[in-house]
Amino acid sequence: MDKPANKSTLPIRILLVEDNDAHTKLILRAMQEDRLANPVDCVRDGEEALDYLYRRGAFEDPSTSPRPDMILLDLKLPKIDGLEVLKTIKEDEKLRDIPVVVLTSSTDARDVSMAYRHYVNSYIAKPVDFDKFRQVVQELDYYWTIFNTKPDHKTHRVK
Amino acid sequence: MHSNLTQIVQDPQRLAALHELGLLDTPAEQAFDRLAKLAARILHTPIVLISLVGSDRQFFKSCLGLPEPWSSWRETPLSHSFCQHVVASGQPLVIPDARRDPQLLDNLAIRDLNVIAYLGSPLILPGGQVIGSFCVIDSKPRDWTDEQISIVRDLAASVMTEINLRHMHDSLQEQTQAQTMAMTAALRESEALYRDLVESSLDMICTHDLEGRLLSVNQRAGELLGYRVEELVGMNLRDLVVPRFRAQFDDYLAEIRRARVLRGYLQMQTRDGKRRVWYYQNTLRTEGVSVPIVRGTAHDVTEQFETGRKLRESESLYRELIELAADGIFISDAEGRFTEVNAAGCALAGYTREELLHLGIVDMIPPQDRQTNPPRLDELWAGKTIIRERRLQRKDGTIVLVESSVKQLPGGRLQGIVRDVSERKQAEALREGNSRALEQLLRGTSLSEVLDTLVRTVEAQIEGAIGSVLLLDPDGRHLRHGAGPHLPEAYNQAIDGVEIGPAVGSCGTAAYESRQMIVENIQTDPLWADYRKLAAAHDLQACWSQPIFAADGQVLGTFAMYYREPRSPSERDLRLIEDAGHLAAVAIENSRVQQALVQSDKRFRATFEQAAVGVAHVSTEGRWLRVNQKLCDIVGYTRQELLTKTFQDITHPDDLDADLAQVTRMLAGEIPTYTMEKRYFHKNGKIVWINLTVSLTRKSNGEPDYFISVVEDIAQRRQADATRRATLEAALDCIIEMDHEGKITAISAVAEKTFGYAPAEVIGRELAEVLVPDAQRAHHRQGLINYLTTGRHAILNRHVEMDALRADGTTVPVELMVRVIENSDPPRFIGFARDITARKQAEAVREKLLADLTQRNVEMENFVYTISHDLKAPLITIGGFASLLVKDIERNDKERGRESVQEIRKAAEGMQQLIDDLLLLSRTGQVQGEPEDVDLHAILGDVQARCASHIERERATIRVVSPLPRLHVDRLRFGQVLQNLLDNGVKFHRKGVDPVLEIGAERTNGEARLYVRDNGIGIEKRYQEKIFGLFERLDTGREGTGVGLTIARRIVEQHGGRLWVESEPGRGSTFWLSIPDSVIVDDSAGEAARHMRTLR
Repeated sequence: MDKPANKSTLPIRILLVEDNDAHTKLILRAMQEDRLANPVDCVRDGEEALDYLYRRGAFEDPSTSPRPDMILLDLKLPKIDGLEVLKTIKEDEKLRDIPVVVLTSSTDARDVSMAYRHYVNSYIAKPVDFDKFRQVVQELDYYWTIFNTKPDHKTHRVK
Repeated sequence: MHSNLTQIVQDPQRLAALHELGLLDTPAEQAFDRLAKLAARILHTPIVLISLVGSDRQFFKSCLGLPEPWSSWRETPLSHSFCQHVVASGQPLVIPDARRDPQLLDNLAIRDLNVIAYLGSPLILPGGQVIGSFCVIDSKPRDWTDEQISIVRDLAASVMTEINLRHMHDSLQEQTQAQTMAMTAALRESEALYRDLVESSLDMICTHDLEGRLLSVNQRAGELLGYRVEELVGMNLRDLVVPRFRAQFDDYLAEIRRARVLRGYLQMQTRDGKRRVWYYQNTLRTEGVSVPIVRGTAHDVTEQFETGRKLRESESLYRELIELAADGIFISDAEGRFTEVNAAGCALAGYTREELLHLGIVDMIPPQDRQTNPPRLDELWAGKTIIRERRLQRKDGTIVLVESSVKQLPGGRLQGIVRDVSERKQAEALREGNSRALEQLLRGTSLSEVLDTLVRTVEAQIEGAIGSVLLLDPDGRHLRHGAGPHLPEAYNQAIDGVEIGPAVGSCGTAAYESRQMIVENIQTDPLWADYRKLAAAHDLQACWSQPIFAADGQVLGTFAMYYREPRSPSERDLRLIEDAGHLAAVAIENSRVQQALVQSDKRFRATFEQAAVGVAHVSTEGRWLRVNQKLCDIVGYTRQELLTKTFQDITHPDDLDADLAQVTRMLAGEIPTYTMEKRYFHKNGKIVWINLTVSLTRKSNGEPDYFISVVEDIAQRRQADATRRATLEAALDCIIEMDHEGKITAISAVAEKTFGYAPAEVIGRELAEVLVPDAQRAHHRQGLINYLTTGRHAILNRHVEMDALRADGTTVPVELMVRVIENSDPPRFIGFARDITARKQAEAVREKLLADLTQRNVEMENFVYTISHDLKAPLITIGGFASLLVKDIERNDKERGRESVQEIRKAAEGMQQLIDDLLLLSRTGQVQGEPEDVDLHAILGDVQARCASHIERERATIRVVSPLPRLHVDRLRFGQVLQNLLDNGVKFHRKGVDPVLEIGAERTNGEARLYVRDNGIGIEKRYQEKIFGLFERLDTGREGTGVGLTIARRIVEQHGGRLWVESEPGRGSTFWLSIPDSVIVDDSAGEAARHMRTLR
């Protein structure tokens, strides 16, 4: 019962990169089920993801494309695939601090190892079972808490 | 007849050859005289001649039993020559009685030389010229027997052997002669030295004839008399005598003729009238000179004479004169006891005057000479002057060689004038010793003997010298014992084999440094540091060593003189050992040449007799001249039997013509040699297969002399060859034999076929050239060289695969195994090769399959990966919403429940579509319809019909803008491609812009292309290739599974074409389809143009 309260006090902005609309809905539903009211921005391919992060094209306006606190990234994406996006983020000084969690249907070992080779923060396979899906989302939340506590406290102190 | 005789005798070539021999006008020589004597003894003839017939005379190199004066002249004019007829005919001349011979009865030899019976055999040079005759002559008629003729012929041959031998040794002799001349010059020099010595003691030398006319005078005589030498020559000595004494000059001349040697005083008058008194010793010479001459030496004693003038009449003056003489003068009483001796005499004998006056003549004679060479007192008493050489024993026991002139004085007293001639004798001994060494050399005496003689000769010249010759090994580093007759044997052995170096005694250093090394004191000289003890042990104190140089400057050895006391050489000593070194060089080089000659002769004999093959000399007519045992063994005849036959006699008739044809060609000079296999008849009648190699020896004038035949029994080899040939014919593999030069010696029939050659075409050619591809040829050749030189090899005895070159320049892959044929020397190789083209092809196919399979596996893996992802996606959706649906129902939230069901259905439909497309794709890869002639316009019509609703909905326009060709393709599949492209073109239109599609054909860069151009959204450059990937979609918002273009490209590629896109975002895309000409049935534009139409 404490958790949701915690979450609401720490609004975490998530960038979801997912080409499958049904999956997007599922993820959003799972978050709703857990009462995670995090703001989620959705983009549908690798190109859009990078445009969003670099505020290019349709995402020029910073108010519509704020810096996310976390990125959920599918691997199989149109135009520019997820690994490429991951690589670009992790090679960029300004972006590499943003935790990236790969959320994909692939359990292929090659994909897992390639993702970790490109410094992914976590790799989570999409389960078919919705409860498991929810569990994943919860884990994501938990994961994020641990990950971001330190920098966030710092920030508060400075303020 | 007569003109023919002249023509042959005067033939310039013949005369030149005769002169070249250098035998004319040379003294008689034992070698030839021996043969003459032999003839006389065997044939009992009084006269034997070795006659060399020149242009106007015959010269006798040897003449036995010829009457004087011919015997001294040793020649006759041709008017007296029988031998010229032998020269003319080149055949033996057999005359039983010349007086009955029409050709000879006028010959002056019959009258002057009493030549009645004559038997002469020609002396023929290797070049064929007849230079003379070896003949025996009798003064009475004789019937010459065949045997006698044969003997004379043999002896003539021996004479020629002797002459040829000399000729053969020409170069050697020339060298020897040159060296001999150098020696002679050296001897002359030493003679001159002797003369100088004599002159310096006696001052004057002159010769005069028996009238007293001066023939020669020396410079000193001229100076003393006040004349120039030229003026004196021709003057009479009488006119130079003081006028008062001229009357007595005749007595002098008479006395010297009688006594031949005369000593005394002459009073001479100089040009300016002054008187000089000479003490002379003059000698008459009659031998070896054309006219008798008197050789005189005189000492000017004027001063002494003048000083003692007052005492002239007295004894003391006489004694004074005696005393002043350079020669020893001894006067004894009638019993031979000395009563007076001059100072020179005392010095000569080594006694004091007092001692001598207690001794007598006998005491001066060495004991061993007293019996053999006693004083001839009786002759003296008969008033004769006895001059002779004899040995005088000095007080210290040493022996001095002296010339003594003894005569009786009034009162029975004896006066002896004695001169030390040891120096002159030494010079003579040197000359004789050296001559002896040279003679030995020419006689072929062993080198060690010759060197021994040289050493002894030089030892005799230098008192106390112990000579040594060391020879340098052919390795140029070690000295070997040559000669050292008086050195201790142990010492000789100790230094035998010593290695030369910069401080190895005198000899080792001299040889090393190539220069004379004079060590005066072995015990102190650094050169001897290592050998001092050895030398001391043998009491050797000094050693002078002279390198022996060959004509080319190479060191051959050393000539050294040892002494038992420290000693430095005089100039004469140095000259002596230098000369000895020269002579030793001649001896050593000569000996080496001789040895080489002997060796090559021995080798020849050994080769001939012990050859493993038959060897024969065969006359140009075919007669066996000389055969070895092996040949006899091969044909089964004894040597005697064979020598009576010709090769034609034992040659198989079927082989004879071929052999004779070759013989004819060789005699004509067309071929230098030939080899053939042929058959002889064995004595037992059986056939013997032989391999015959024949070469021709020609005389020096170019005429054929005789054949040398080498006959090899090849029965076994033929059998082996036959077996081998059969093997090579029958073998299924390629078999190739190669010799050590890399040449192909045999090849199997299959190999010839495999490599594309005619039978036997490649035999004898280099394997590398014929069968090895260019790129490997150098490597192959190097490999052979490496094996032959080092024994290392890379490919022997194992299977290797390589490409072999064929006759047409193509290559064929072979598996090869090469072995060295056992016991072959030089090594031969046999290679077994198998054509592995089929295997290689199979391997290539297999590899292609493997590669394809691997490629397919990769594709499959990617395919499965992609599918698993795209199939999983709807499952996740369905699973997720199904769980949500449960919650929706629990909550009775109908709105959300419907939503969930909607998502589930959509996912299921998507999955259905995905599976359909996958099936289509997999069928595209596997199933293919039969190609047929297709009208593209017709296909387009079908496609448009199928997509009609889609086209209608999107308000699209489709135009065919150019005539399309007829193609030979799979109708269904090709339709699918067009449908995909049309679908895409309609689907990806820009918002608010009605799609317009243009379809056309064109030829670009010689390639037929179709295109489908749209005015849609376009595709960014970077995604233009990505869109052809499986399940690749650029816009997931629109319908589709991302399989369509993948299928289209695959179908086009299956027809041999390509599919790609050119596009500009926001303007539209053009999909291009290249069509291989092979599938175009009709490209006629005019025909197709009529089908152009616009569809809406």
